[in-house]
Amino acid sequence: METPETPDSELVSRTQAGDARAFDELVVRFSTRLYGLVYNMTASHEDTNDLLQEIFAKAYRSIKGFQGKSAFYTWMHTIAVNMTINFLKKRNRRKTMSLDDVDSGILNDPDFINATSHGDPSQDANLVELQKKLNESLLKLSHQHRAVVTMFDIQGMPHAEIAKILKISEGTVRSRLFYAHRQLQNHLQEFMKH
Amino acid sequence: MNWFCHSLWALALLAPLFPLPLGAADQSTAQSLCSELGRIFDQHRRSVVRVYATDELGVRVGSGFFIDPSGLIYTHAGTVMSADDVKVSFAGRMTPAQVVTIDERNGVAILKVDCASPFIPIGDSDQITNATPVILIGFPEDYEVSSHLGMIAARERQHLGKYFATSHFRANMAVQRGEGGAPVLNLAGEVIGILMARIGDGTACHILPIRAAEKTRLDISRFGELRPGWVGGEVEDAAAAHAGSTAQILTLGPGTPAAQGGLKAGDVIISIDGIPVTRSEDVLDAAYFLTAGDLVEVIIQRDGETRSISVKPTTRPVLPVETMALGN
Amino acid sequence: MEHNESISKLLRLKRYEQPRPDYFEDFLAEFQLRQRAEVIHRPFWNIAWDRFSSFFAPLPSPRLFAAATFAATVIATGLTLNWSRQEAVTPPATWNLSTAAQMKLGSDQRAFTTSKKRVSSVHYVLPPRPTGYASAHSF
Repeated sequence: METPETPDSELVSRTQAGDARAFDELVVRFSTRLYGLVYNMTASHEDTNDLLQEIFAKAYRSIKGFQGKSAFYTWMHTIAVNMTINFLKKRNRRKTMSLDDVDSGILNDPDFINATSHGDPSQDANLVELQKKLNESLLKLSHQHRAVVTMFDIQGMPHAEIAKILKISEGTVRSRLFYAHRQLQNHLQEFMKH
Repeated sequence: MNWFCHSLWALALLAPLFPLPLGAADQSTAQSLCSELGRIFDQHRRSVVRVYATDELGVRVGSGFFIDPSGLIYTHAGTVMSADDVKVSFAGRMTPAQVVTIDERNGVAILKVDCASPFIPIGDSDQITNATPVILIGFPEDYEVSSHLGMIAARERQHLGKYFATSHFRANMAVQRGEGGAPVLNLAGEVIGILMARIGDGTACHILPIRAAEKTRLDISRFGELRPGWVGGEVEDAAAAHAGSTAQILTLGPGTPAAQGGLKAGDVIISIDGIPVTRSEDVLDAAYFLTAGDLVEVIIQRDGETRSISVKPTTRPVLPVETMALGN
Repeated sequence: MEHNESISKLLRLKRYEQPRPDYFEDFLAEFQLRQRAEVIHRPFWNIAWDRFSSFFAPLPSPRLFAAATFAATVIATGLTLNWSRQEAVTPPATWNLSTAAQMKLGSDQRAFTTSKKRVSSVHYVLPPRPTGYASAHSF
């Protein structure tokens, strides 16, 4: 029988009461959730690692001020997005991409198969090319547009949640997404099947 | 005998069936290599210890080793940093240990237990060349003391774009968690390095040359504290070499030891304290061994002339470390 | 819209870009190490200020309110704690190893146990990168 996961709110209360182990549990949970967000914004594993460490350090320092008015999930994501965007603003040189190892599960993903079936015998070459093209296109977006695309398209978060995290209206989220998709479409044309 | 020796013996026994040039001389080479490796492990395994460090977040477990008969131990700073309680396991018992110093520059911590100890003799890490075979003896995870055979691939100054405080050996050798702080020995049975970090998932690793660790021990012996030296200069690579070096001083901070000693922007550095410099990156290792307060000779090329400038480094701006003085 | 769907599908593939499996295990260990280092190296006033200002975060002008309260309390408690902490670290003039050993062993009467009650996590040390870094071009 599976034991139900301790809710985030309980771990937060325990952390606020001084239980450092409870925060460790939150780190384990949110590091996996936030990794994708930060990595797709920064396109660098090294930067992601350093930033994630800073994000959790800041969360730990500020957690006493968290009152539970929003979900802890939203609060953590807000810290993560803000710190990542601040970091990107300071990082003014064009970053060369570091490609993380891609999980081999991608080879069975129907979207991948659709996107790369050019009749090219080497799937590996297609994969690298696709990865590069996607990363290049994402980097061309502004930080704000990259944030919404990362959260909606890559992380699969709903518009309402993104709006709460970025403290903007749902309408603004949708319009930013629309604009970003149009920009990406221009860059990715050769990979578009339709 | 381990699988390696079994393989060699199998090869030797089967040799007559194959047109292989494996004669009596090779059999004795295989035999002596096996016994040499086994002998080094047997001789020094008792000098290798397991280190336990406790604080309110949990227990960290690493490896370490004795370097003198009075119970002095080298281990990994990451194991004992800010621990409330440190204990060391050797000779079948657990003994409390004091943290003598933690050097965050090179990642070394020195511990002391209050008893006599066997120890591993210190070798000359400067003599280690690429493709030198080495043996690591450490405590992986919760297994018993174990040996690894590997090879030094190269000396590295940086990894993934970040420069180390001093160059490290990169070795091809499988290493496991819990072995941070383990000694790395040459085939003469002398310790020439300390395991500091794994590369990726641990199929290769970075090893601190023992000479860099000895700088820590020497400072504590002399001063009771760490005294990394700093002179306040920035270097870059000039377009052309002067007297074989392109390391040119770019700027000097006003009032810094470099400026006070008489170095000037534009000087090309040939050597620092006897360590030859051929490009700007070479100052990394030269700078590491400077000691605040110890005068050093910097040979430079200025306006076509070779000159010797004396500089007295001061304390390098560095994070504070916990230290206790070694006894006289 | 069809073209948006295609873009979305392509972007969703990026969720397969993952770090190696043991990355997150190391991540927690590195975080704990930084927590420890921060306790040693951050000045007391810096840590206390962070705690104070996060406590007053919901107020309209939290910084002003926090500053006033902070100034009042830091004299009473912070300096005392800071001084006593420094005393523990600075060795006396005639410090030697036997003195240190007596002090440390005397204060630590607990026997080391590995019972689950006392030890909540065990971490075997071998970090993915060396401890110290430097600028390659300054000395």
